[in-house]
Amino acid sequence: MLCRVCPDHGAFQETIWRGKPDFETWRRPKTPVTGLKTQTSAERGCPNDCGRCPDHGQHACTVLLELTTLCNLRCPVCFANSGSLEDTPVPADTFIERMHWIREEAGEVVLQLSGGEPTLYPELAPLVKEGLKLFPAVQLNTNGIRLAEDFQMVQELAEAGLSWVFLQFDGVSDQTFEKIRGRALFDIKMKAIEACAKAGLSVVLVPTVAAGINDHEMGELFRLALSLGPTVRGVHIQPMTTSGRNPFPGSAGRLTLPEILTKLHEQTGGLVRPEAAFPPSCEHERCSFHLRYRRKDDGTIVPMGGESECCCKTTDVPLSAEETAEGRRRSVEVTLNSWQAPAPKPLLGIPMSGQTNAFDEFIAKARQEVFSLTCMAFQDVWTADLARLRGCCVHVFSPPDKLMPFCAFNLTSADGRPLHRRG
Amino acid sequence: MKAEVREIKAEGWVCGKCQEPLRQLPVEITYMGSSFQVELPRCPVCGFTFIPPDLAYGKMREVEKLLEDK
Repeated sequence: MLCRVCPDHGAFQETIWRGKPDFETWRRPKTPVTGLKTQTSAERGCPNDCGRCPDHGQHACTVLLELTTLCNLRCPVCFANSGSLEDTPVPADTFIERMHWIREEAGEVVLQLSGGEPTLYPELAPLVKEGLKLFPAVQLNTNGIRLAEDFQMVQELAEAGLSWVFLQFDGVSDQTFEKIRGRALFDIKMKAIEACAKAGLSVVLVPTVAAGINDHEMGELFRLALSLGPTVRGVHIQPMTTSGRNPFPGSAGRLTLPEILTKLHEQTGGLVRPEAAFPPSCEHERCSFHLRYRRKDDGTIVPMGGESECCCKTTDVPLSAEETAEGRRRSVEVTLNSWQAPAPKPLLGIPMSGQTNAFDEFIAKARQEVFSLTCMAFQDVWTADLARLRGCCVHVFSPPDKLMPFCAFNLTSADGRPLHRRG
Repeated sequence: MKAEVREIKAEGWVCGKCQEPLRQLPVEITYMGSSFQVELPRCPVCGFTFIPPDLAYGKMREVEKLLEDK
């Protein structure tokens, strides 16, 4: 339990960890990095000064750039509280300037184009193209409706070089989509994946999961994702939080990282093994877990590091500041290797010797087979932990010139008032 | 960036320990539970294998990065 006392409102407690692996054994502490570019000073204290202020302790590996507040859904659940039908469009040139600013401040990050629903932004493909001049990857965070409806758009995004689609995908039944998104969307989601496959775009399925709502479908979703490889490169689970718009009571629906692992283990007949999951090297240890597999043709999966279990990634000894910074580089690289579409013809135009052919064939095959299972536990007002916020590597660009930790940017009070988000 | 790698042949190389000429032989390369086969200059007696620097810093590094975990 996370226990806190407010001088005005009294004591609060919220569950942040439940089940196996044990809280005590899930360790990967980090020494904060120094020398980060900052945009504010630390005056009122975390999280009021975001961002970034000199108290921040990790580089960004991902930066979100929100293109619009418009959305073609009005989900009962939305951390961004999106869904407005009107928006003053921001010119593409302004977004390009913002991208240059992000590159200057945050360095080589994965740029996530988000919203609202970013596919409603009219000049999306040109922005993807511009983004790739500055960043190693550009990711599109979408509900997929436009991708299912408009194949020309999908083709344009593929031609622009979009790195992968981060597709909101909460479960395997329309009941789940109706509860969380307010509409039956399963067939539309499948159509979006089909369009991406046809255009050569890779996809990561991103379910928002809450206890008693759709947590019983995680195993089936995992198997569905495996069956849709190599177009579908992985599943990225986001346990539901109360930030933004949310009709479900936080405590009742809250799922912690070990509970997600345990449920996946049970629902996949042991295919997902919790003991193969490790805390991250980039973000704070309590924020995520990750597993990487090789997806075999017969439907089975093999952990990327082989069957042997490694204990070197769980440690009480803090990573040095240099190792913490290195964790960010690795995170970006591993993300690219995991989620980017495998090149269809890796040897094209390059004359190779017999030795290099064998390596290239292995690399090409491994790229086809990589499949990742990741989970990121975002924080809300009940679970916010300043140490986790300071160790955050997922940042949001907040106009005109700030980089904020994702959970701080989206933090809303118990009655729904945002701390930082505007509009 | 894919670096071009020169093919290293066994001819002209001798195993320092066995004094046997190296031969182009299949070698099983295993990295973190994933393996594949490649032909490299190898001593037919002790099995000592010569990995040319181009390969170590080129393709092998690429494989390592691909399999690297967070």
